[in-house]
Amino acid sequence: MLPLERFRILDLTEGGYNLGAKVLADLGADVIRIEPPSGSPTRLNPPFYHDEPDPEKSLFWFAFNINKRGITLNLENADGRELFRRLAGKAHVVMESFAPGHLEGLGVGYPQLSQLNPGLVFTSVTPFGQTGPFSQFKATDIVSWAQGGMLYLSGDKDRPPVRISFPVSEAVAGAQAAAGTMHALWHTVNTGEGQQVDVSAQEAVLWLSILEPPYPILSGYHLRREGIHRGFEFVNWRQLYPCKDGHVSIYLIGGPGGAFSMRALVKWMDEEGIATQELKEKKWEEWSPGDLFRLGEAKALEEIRKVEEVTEKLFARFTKEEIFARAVRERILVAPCYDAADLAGEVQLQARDFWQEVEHPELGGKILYPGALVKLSGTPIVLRHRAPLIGEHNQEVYCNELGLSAQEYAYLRSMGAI
Amino acid sequence: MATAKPFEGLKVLDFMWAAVGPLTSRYLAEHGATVVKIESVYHSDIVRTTPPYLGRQPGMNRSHLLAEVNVNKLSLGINMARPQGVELVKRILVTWQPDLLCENFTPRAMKKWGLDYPSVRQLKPDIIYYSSCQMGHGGPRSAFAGYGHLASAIAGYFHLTGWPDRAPVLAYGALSDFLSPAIGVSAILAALIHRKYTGEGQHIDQSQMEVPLHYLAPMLLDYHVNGRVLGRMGNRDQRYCPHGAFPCQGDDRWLAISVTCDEEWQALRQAMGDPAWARDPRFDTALGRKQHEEELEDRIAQWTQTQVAEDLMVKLQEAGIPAGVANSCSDMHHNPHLQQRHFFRHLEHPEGGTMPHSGLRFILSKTPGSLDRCYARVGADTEHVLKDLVGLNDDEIGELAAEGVLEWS
Repeated sequence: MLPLERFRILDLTEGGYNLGAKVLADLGADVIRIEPPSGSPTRLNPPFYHDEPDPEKSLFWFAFNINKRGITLNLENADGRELFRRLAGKAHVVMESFAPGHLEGLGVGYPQLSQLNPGLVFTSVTPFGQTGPFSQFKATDIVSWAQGGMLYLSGDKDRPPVRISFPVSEAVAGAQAAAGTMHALWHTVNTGEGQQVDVSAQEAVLWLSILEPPYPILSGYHLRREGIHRGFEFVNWRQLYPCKDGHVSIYLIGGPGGAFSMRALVKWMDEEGIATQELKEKKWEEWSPGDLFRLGEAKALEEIRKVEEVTEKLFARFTKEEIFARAVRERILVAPCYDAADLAGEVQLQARDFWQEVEHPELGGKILYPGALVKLSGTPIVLRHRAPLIGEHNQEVYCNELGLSAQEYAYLRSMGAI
Repeated sequence: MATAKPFEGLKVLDFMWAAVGPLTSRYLAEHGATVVKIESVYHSDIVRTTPPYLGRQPGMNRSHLLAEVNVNKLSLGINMARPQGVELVKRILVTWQPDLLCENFTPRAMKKWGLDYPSVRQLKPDIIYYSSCQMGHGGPRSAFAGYGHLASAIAGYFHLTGWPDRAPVLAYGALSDFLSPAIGVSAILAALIHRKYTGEGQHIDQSQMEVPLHYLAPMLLDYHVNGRVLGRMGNRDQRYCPHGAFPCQGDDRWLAISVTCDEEWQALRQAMGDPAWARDPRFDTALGRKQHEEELEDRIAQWTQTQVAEDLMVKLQEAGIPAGVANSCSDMHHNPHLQQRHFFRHLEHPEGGTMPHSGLRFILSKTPGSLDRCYARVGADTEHVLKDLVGLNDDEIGELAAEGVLEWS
């Protein structure tokens, strides 16, 4: 038995927001992904199976809609809306990502559905949330990344600020939508009272960089992008270094959070004959970010740069895997910058059975997916079945579960409602 | 009349430290749970030394990050290096009967104290026990300790950030620390719901390098299915064009513009005043725009340079074009939208002054979370917790204090 097995969720979200209901589907909820009769626009999101653009071959769709069932329903049509009301009357959760007010305008927003089903949790995830002057504004990934402050802080100083080359803003907001839905669902389970959950992609992205907003208030300035450097206040480290076959990322801190790592790093430098006397004698317990802050900017940066110089020399001599293997063995706070191929070969993921095969009969084979979100000892997450085809569960849901007769179902299809 | 918060009555024994763990239990603390954070002075939470500080003055109780991630929690100062400290925790488990225990150490720490899941389960059979660590429990690299930006590196985020002609750069921050909590708390709440219906507790094992991979799942499938190793593309998009961060008037001002269809391109042309270059038929089609992307970007940049970023954002949005200023964290505090949504909060700090906080990650319409109490001192709530929740008397508390089992900062 899975933890959310008794709950039904209607998922009307699009794009990366689809991760939200996917999280709940993985935890066992019966998620019905509702698409327009022509298929969801998310099915056009790349990448595609064998690079063949086709609504039934989007890997983006596969990844974020796995474990869900799928039906088609036309909300622009009165019969379609009536079907949706009937479905929502029996559901525990609706998740949607339309512009604020759109569903209400169609008569199927939270105010109307909560009349039918007072316990309903209605989660709305949009670029800017349900209220405020920007609430009707549009966003794609880079716009949310910009408005949430992540863009400004990433990239080389001599070029424009830069996003991550795979869009994640919507998925980040989708995950918050899953969390918010669970909060509201807990309340419903205990009290019977439903409510609306408001998730803003701007705020979800802002929540990736919440270490920064206090700077103008506490320190009187704001941080800027620094490429491969990052820090707290002026205590600023280089965090990326080239190695023989790529790059690694290290945290050069001492104090309670890192003295063990600095000692092990210097030991390695010493074995390589490049540790300076100063590094060998340094009391790393007294090298926390706070200790460095107390030294003042000039002295702190001078100290840090000396360590960075030797660090750069050390890593140039080894490969990613050599460095990571030593880091694990000797407890050094350094890790490889993996790409997709490296991840496929990572021993820890293999040992934890991270990758799971899922059948795609239509494609004549299996695809390897990232598996469980987390490991639950009593109710383990499994990938039960691939993402739905367009309208795959129409008959199952409309006839077997909602009780439409074969004639009604055929009529509603012919009228474009399904 | 205020409705009760969703987690009122929920009891959480919280061993989490640094950022990623506390950010997970913060959801519960914001929404009414009683979260007792166990902390030591001797082996203190590492974020206590992290700048920036209240009043720009370093101090154990003055870190912004400490306050931010632990808001609303109660602090119980216990020296866990002392056997009596561990005994006290066991007594709390038996007497207070927490619903949830959470920790984000490497797997050996709780085991060393005899407080791993199999041991705690003996004392409280139906407990939900949440563990979160860099690499997850089990496997050859399980003991590797790391911080958020290391898990982000492993999960591929830095390889994907930067320009095709250059080495990777950092995607800002300890990214994975902020990607894990939403998934973690969803799993915790699902387990609590399961327990409500079945009476069964369980262990949740979260790997902080695995969770970020789920956000990149389509890219991972692309490798497994097509053999493609996605690389850095600057601000280019696989489909949309023009697409990027365009310079505006002033120092380091940028506007992200993203044109997703012909209609938006036509609207952008009009917004630019339909200059002669934009009427070039090469730009009429998506394919034509993509094939002449660099030229298009240069032309648009020449125009945006003469514009004020905030004004241009509103102008383009009103014309139906996705656009957004690359906000600095100073901009955030003046952003009319965030202001109207009351995103930022300020709480009185026990050492004087106010500490700024980021607000909620989502808003529940009937039972919203709230930020009520600033977190600062180790042991600020030790007496209250031990007396009122655990039921110790004054003599017992005095004895533990005298023995150095209890700690205050």
